This record gives sequence, structure tokens and C-alpha cells, in this order.
Amino acid sequence: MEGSWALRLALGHVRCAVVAFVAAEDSSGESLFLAAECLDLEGLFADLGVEPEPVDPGASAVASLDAASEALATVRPVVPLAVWAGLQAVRARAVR
Amino acid sequence: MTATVGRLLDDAHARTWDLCSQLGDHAGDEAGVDRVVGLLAAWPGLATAALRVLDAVAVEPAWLDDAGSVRDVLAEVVRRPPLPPSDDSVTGRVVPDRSVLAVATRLGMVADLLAGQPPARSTVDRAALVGLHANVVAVVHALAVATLAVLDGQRDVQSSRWLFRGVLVRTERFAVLPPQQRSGRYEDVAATGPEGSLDSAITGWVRATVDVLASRQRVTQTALQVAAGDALILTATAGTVCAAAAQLGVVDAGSAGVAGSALGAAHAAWRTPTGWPSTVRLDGVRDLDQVRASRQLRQLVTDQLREGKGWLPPDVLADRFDVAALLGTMRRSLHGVGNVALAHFQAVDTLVRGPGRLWIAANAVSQPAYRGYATIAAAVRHGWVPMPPMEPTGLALLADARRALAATTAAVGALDGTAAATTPGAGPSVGALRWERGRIVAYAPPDQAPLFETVRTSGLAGVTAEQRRPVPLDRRPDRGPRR
Repeated sequence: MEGSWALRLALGHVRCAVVAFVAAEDSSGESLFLAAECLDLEGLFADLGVEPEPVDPGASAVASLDAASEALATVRPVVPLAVWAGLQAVRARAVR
Repeated sequence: MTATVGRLLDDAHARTWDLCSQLGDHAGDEAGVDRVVGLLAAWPGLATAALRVLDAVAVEPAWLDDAGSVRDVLAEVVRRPPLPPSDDSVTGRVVPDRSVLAVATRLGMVADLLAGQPPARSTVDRAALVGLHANVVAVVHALAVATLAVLDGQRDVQSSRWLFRGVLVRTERFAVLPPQQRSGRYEDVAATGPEGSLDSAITGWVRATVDVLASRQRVTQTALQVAAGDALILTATAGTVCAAAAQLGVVDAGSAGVAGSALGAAHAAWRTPTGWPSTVRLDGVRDLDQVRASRQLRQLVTDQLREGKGWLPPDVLADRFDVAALLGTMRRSLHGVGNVALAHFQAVDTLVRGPGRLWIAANAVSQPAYRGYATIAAAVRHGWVPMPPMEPTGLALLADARRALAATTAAVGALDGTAAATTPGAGPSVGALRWERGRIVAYAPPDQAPLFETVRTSGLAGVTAEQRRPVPLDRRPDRGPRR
């Protein structure tokens, strides 16, 4: 997979994760903070000038984050470390 | 500790009470001429400070302003200061009484904090303003009582006595208002809290977010989404604190219920603007000030009000915080969210209606007139095109922003309602002044008229007739000064 295409795909999945997190009925409020962290991640992509690729929403926010991670894993050498670390941190918090 | 209008008023009332007690303890003694001169000399400063507070927030419509008579008499005190007794022992420079000056300084600080407040237009704001005026005028009333008592027995002070009797008459109906009916959102107005406090983080967040959203060059999709996401978090936080306050009995269940529903609606309204549709985008580099302010806000909310993956339960909140003060912080934060909501709506409105920078996925363009060759070519390669005017997707974004603004405005008013007075006061106690809930209250004479007459408009179509409260024919009319 081409590097820029993978980044675009990953951003599309992260955007889907945001929508899923804010739509979640979660009285603990944890999903709101996860959505905010995903928005921070989107900001990193925006700084890199990545255009999002419209993708079908995943089964859940966590599934979307997993899909983004898989997309980036295929082109790991070209993925900025900040993006990779940020995505893994959100994934870890989401499944905790 | 954050300086709020409420805390400054508490301090002013406590100092006034102490001064009255001090003068009362020495009522039998003959007050020194220097003391009398000092008290009288401090009055112009006190009256000026009280006038500043009375003028700090305008009332709309203006005819509902009920403090005109108090303003007149205070202006008279400033214009023609009370004259000291003509005693040969008064020599040298006159030093105004320090205790009264300290009270005046606090009232001046209250006026400073209230500077820039918008006019009180809603019923809730007007009621809060009447309460604020009552809290300020009660201090003036108490000091007038004390000063008049000190003037008793002094020679050549008749004109000053008349002046203070005028002050007493005009301030009395404010001073008898029970403290429960004086509370309101203006008591929450605060100076920026110390660095690292939630108040300070909220102030910084509002400033940074409104700055970036108001800039045509710096606003981006991420900026709009982050603003909406933070508003989502703050409405949830306010809802949690409000529910805890109701459970702990800090606010009454009725107003907390109304505020809770309004906050729930505002929270729901911010969900859609937080997650944009995947077919729309707006490029741009992040504004680092906003990013920093947003992270700090979330960090403080997490550190102070959350534990693990959930909100702190009410009893733990009560252990760690003054829940009433925390609810005041939430009211201030929601006013901040209101400002952000307005900036957010205006930014989206400019982007959607104006010659925009919004992009839409080419295969999502729904208007046939804009499905030209370039759009189809872009759709084939899964590309993006500038969003055409009046595109339904853009209009939906605008509708969502408008809904968020409207719901937030309603929530601001409802949460302000938790600061408003609800329960009627207890019966009058014996004595000219009494201390109740940290505030000075004057003894209410029987049948004291309320501050406002009840005036309502007839419901007949096409007819605007005023209907005044019926005069009770079986007893004497209400006493007390009327407008």
C-alpha cells in the first residue's frame, strides 16, 4: 500500500472513530475524552496535510481505530512516530 | 481562592456587621467627634462605590429598574457630603473611617468585576440583579443606621441627620429582602482564578477557542470539532456537578431538574458538530494555543472531577470541594461555552454561506447542477471538490451549529436558575437589623410591599391593557415607599 494512501485511509478511520465515540451513550463520560484524543490525532494528520479518505464506518469506534492502525502498520517506515504513538495510546485507553 | 462577587459581598456584609456591633457596644458612650467626622467623611466614597455597582449591569426594559430612588439619594450624598459637627476640637486633616472605606473598596471591586456584563434581559437575570442590588443596598442601609445612631446627641448635624433619614427610607425595602431571595448568577462573576485552577483553565480555553474560531484564516475543521468536543465535555461536567449538588441538597430539586434537562439537551446538541460527516473537510494547520488550552482544560477536569473511567460520586465531591462554589464555576464555564457556541455558529455560517473553503467528496455532491465533468472525474478517483453553495450537507452542518447554540443558550439560563432565589423568607425577627445566612437583613415592618408591583398584560387579542394587583378593600393599603 502506498504511504500517502495509507495515511489518508487511517485518517478516514479515525474520523469514523470520533463519530462513533460521540454517538456512544456512555454515562461515565469516558467516550467523550476518547473522542477528544482522536481529535488531537486528527490535528496531527492535518499538520501533515493529509486529506481524509471517506471510508465506511466500522462496527465500533474501537474497530475503526484498529482499522486505522492496520492501515498504518503496512507502511510503518513512512508513518510519523507522533501519529503512530498517538493512535496506539488512544487504542490502549479505549480497550482499557 | 477565586475572588467572586459573592465572596466580596460576604466580606462587605461581615465588616459592616462588625462595625455596627462595635458602634452598638459603645452606644451609651459619647462617640468621639473624630469618629463621627471620620464616618461622615467616608460616606461619599461609600456612596460612589454603591452607585457604581447599581449602574454596573443595565436592566432591559429600562423601566423595570427599581433602584432609581436609591441612586438619587446616593448621588445626593456624593454631591453634598454630610457635614461634620461644628466642633472646635476637630482640627487638622479629616481621615475617613477605615472600616467604612474597606467596605467601599469591596463594593468597588464588585463593580469592577461586573463591568462588561450584558444587560439583564431575562427574568432570571432581572431577579438576580434585584438580589444583587439588595445585597449592596443592605450594606448602605446598615451603615446609615449606624451613622444615624452615632449622630444622635451631636450638635449642628441636623442636615446630615435628614440626609441619612432619607437614605434609610429609600434603602429599607431592599434591606428587608431575605437573603434567600437575593441570590443569583451575578454572585458567581469572578476574577480569573489562580493559575492551575479550573476557573483559570476555562477562561484560557474560552479566549483561545473564540480567537481561533473568529479568525477566517485560522479556523479549521479540527478547530471547530475540538471546540464542539470541549463543549460536549463541559456540558457533561456541568450536568454531573448539578446532579450532585441536587443530591447533596445544595440546590433545590426543582431548579436542578430543569437545569439537568437543559444541560442534557445541550450535550446532545453538541454531539453532531463534534463528529463531522466523513464526506466534508476543511483543511488547515492546528492552532497551538487552542490545542494547549483544550488539553489543559481536559486534564484539569479529569484530575479534579474524575477517578478512573468515571465521574466522582457526590459524596466524594462534597469531601473534596465546596459544591456550591463548584456549581458557581460550572455556571461560569457554561457562560464560556455560550460564547464559544456563538463563535462556532458564526464560523460555520461564514464557511457554509460564504465563498467557502469547505471541501466535499466528489461522489457526495447531491445537486445535479454541480455534477459536471470535473466533479465526475474527481468522483472516479475518489477525490474532493469545493463544496457548491446550498449543498444539503453544508446546510446540515449549519443547522447543527444553530441547534447547539440555541440549546446552549437555554442551558445557560437554566443553570443560572440554580443560583436564583426560590424559597420565601422566614418571619421577621425582632431588631432593626439581623444576621442571616452571612448577610445583613433589616427588620421588615408588617405588610411590607414587595419590590415590584405585580403588573401583567391582558390576554385579549388586540388589546394591551395593564392589570394591576387588586387593592385589598378589607384592610388598609400596603405601607412602604412605592415607585
